[in-house]
Amino acid sequence: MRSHSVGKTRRALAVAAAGMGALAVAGSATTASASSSIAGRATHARQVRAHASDGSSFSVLLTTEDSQTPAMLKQLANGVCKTENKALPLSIQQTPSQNIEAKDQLLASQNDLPLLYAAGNPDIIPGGAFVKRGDVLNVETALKALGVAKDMTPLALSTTKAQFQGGVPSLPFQMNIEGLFYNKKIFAAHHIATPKTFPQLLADAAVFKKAGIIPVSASGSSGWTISRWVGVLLFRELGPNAMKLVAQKKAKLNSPAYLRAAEQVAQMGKDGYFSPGISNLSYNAAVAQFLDGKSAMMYMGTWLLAQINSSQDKVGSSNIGFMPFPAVPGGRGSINQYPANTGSPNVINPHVYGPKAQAWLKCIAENWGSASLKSQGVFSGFRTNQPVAGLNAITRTVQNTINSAKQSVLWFEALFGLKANDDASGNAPALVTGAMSPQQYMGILQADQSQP
Amino acid sequence: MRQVFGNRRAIAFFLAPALLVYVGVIVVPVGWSLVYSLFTGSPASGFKFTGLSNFGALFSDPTISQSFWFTIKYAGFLTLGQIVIGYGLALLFKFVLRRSSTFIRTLVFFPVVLPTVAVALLFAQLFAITPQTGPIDSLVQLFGGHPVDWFVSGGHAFIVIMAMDLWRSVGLFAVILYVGLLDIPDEVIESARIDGASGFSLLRRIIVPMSRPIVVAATIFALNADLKVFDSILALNNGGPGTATTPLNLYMFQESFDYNNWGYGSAIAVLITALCLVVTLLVFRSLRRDLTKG
Repeated sequence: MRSHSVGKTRRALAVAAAGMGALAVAGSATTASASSSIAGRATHARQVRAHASDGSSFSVLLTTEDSQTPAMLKQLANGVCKTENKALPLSIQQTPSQNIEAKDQLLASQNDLPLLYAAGNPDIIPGGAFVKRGDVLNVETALKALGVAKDMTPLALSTTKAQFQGGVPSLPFQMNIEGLFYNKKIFAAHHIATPKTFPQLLADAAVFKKAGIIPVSASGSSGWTISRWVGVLLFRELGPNAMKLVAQKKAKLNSPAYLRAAEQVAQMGKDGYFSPGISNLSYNAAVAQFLDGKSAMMYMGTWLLAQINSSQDKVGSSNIGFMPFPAVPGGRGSINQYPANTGSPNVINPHVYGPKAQAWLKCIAENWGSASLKSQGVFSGFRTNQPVAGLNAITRTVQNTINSAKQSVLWFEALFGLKANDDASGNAPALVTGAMSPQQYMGILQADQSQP
Repeated sequence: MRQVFGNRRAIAFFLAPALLVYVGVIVVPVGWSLVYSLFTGSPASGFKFTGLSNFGALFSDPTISQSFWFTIKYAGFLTLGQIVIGYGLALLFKFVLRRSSTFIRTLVFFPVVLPTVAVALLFAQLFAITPQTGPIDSLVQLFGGHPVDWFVSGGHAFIVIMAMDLWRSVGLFAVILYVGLLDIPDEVIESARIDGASGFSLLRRIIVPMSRPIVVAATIFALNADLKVFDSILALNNGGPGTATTPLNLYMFQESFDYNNWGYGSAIAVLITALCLVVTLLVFRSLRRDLTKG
């Protein structure tokens, strides 16, 4: 009897210990999700205050990866916006881009978003979570009210509206177009002119590969440097509305017409045209590969000018050219349609947008364009009100291209949700290394997009 | 001492602080997660009760199935490695190196104290192919092989993850098991030797049975720790390529905080809880007899 009861007790203890152990393990897994308040439920109906008052500072929350915006803000605060900074001192916080969404969500639920904050596209498009809460200032209206609407360029305005489905929630701190940066020296050494069609580009890549030069630099860690190839091929082949039709559920990414672009990029990978060991190659390493002269081309946005205009560039800015992505024969898209964006979204919180913040915004709108071009060689969506002299050849080329661009298109992931965005980038290395078929790649993205 | 343990007030006094912390830090969040799993939404957009729909979604999500089996495979292989190699090292410390094992023990234990992210970055470089060829691929080339892109597929990346996490953690298990071996009385071993046991028979008939309780404890400890792997894989390759090496914990984090699916993320957390409970019970069940004997 006793031994039976001892056995029972031991068994009970063993089960209890097992349960506690498992609970402890899972508890650590769940603590993070549970530690945040459920208070978000009650915040839907919050309205934008008619007359917001300023906070104690010009509080800014940006991603750690964004080095250009904080540098520019500091430059303005110590220069032309000194008076505004004295009234509302600049205070910048940065957090890794991977955590920015979670941080924004928690700050929003606590009604504690800073005056200027980096945010994800889905939250700030019309109907997005932050827009519904009244946490997003309409920049177009705000600039009009301040009398500086003309300081946002028409291209920036139309690109922003396309990017955010009709809304203007973000300040155009950059005005980027995307295309192919290429090494003029390498092209000249092999007697190759800039390709006008995609088959020509592939033929050129074959020549470079044979000569032991990496044809195209791209990063697997930042897989969007690969997935953009799929997007731009879709725009060239199916026309500027290719991705809009997917967003409107009128077309499917895994249909044969869309699949073709992924197949072509996968084939490029198979032919060894992308950086070797691409899977874990970082963005900085891929850029360094191009700026060290080890590769012939890199598909990139014009934000690359910041690196080209820095000491990182070993090729020399005069040896770097910029060309539009070539045409696909028989395609409905045009070589003059550049994928464009106004940089990663930076939003103003209307709840702390008082008179001092308005003065800051006015100063930014009037001065950002010139200051950004002068100190970083980067174009913004704000007008360059003071002429900037001494621009190098590649910067002038990009400036002329932006000024002459007649029509812009979005980029591959622009209208994707958060998960599809991540999957497009995360699976791109597998697509070009053959670890994933084009059907699987596009199938995953289509499944993500089909989710409610 | 018997008086103290017979006094309920004394028991409550000693247990209450630890119990309070445990309940506050572990039990409440687990319960909270269970509640979240019945809702959809995020802090900014608000939450909406959706019943068991998040659990239903677990069955139709292909990534969950992939993550689930990856987690099982990872925990199974790593625990096996940790216990077998750790036990081997413990035997080496106790019976071969004996008193001079201090230096070797320190060396073997050293990776345990290194920050996980630093170890992951170290291994990313060790197995890199570009921009510089890492030491591993250099060795492959030295022996006439072609350099390997170790992060090109889930299978290749799994090898790197195993090597990294074994190197990082095996020292801890070696020390835990070594302490267990020290608990075996020298007289017992001596008697067995006098009775003619030596080498493998001594190990099989005396050492292993007598060290079984510590092996069981270490196995449960290892399994539970391995089932919740997160930081090392996040820092090494973020669960890539794609989601090929994404464990459940990392997927839960991505769903909750990257994609704002707090309810679905919590449902995954509940799945992890259930998995840990089942695995721990299975280990206890399969070794219960020996445990009570030990």
